[in-house]
Amino acid sequence: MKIRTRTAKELEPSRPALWKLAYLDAAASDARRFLTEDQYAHVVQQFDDLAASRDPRRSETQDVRPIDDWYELREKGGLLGKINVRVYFAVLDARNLLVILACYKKEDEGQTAKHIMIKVRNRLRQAKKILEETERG
Amino acid sequence: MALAKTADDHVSFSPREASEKDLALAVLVHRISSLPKESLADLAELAPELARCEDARTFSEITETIREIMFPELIGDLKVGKAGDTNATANLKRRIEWIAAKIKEERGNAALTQKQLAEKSNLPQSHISRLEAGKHSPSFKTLERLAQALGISVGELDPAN
Repeated sequence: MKIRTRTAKELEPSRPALWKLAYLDAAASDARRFLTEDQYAHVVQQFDDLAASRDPRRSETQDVRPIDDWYELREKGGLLGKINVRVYFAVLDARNLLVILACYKKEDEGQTAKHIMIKVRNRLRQAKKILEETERG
Repeated sequence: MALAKTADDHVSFSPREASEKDLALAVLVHRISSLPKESLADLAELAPELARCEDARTFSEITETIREIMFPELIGDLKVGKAGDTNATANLKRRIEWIAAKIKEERGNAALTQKQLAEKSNLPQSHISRLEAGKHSPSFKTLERLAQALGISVGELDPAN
């Protein structure tokens, strides 16, 4: 596994990103399984917003909550209709990086299921491993 | 028999004699034994979840997680940059423009400046400015705050309604 750098579209000149964004292929696949193109684009825009914020952990405009060693962005309604989306991401301060780890369609009330926690935990480990391997060259 | 225990309790394996089932099992055993301890701990936690699982969706999710732990390459690459082209969808653009106009209209009805609306809704003024300029698709949290500050229902800020 490796990091591949895509050509990053520039945000509006008046609004530079304070954080770099990265995402696992698996996270994008998760999302595309249950989101339309419009819904997917909407969710991606929420991360543009987080990347431009001073502290994505404490967003004024997004519903972000801490879970374990990562964070959960919750989004629903509007374009998403009845879909309750949870996007799990890590904040790696030393690298100034937000890493999107997984995307999940929540269908019940209550805490995040254990197997989802384990999935995200495993993906975070893998993401960090990839970053370390890339640095070592 | 292709798989036989030795006196050291190691399973000896004869690839030439092994059946497909034995081969598959040997690959799995080798794979599992080479996993780091955190991954083994995760698998140990997942096994009872799988045993307890009562619905197809959860079963599928758990087995997907098990696969990713055992075969991390399934997770794919880590890509730097946005996870998609957010300008690509015409529908989203229309929606953003509708909401932009609506927020501006309702702000006017409430006789509020952007600054006043920002204070009332506990949102950054810069964010409200961006929304009214049609540069961003607002989150549900943002729409809720705006609706409350404007004295309207969230549904009134949704073009679907």
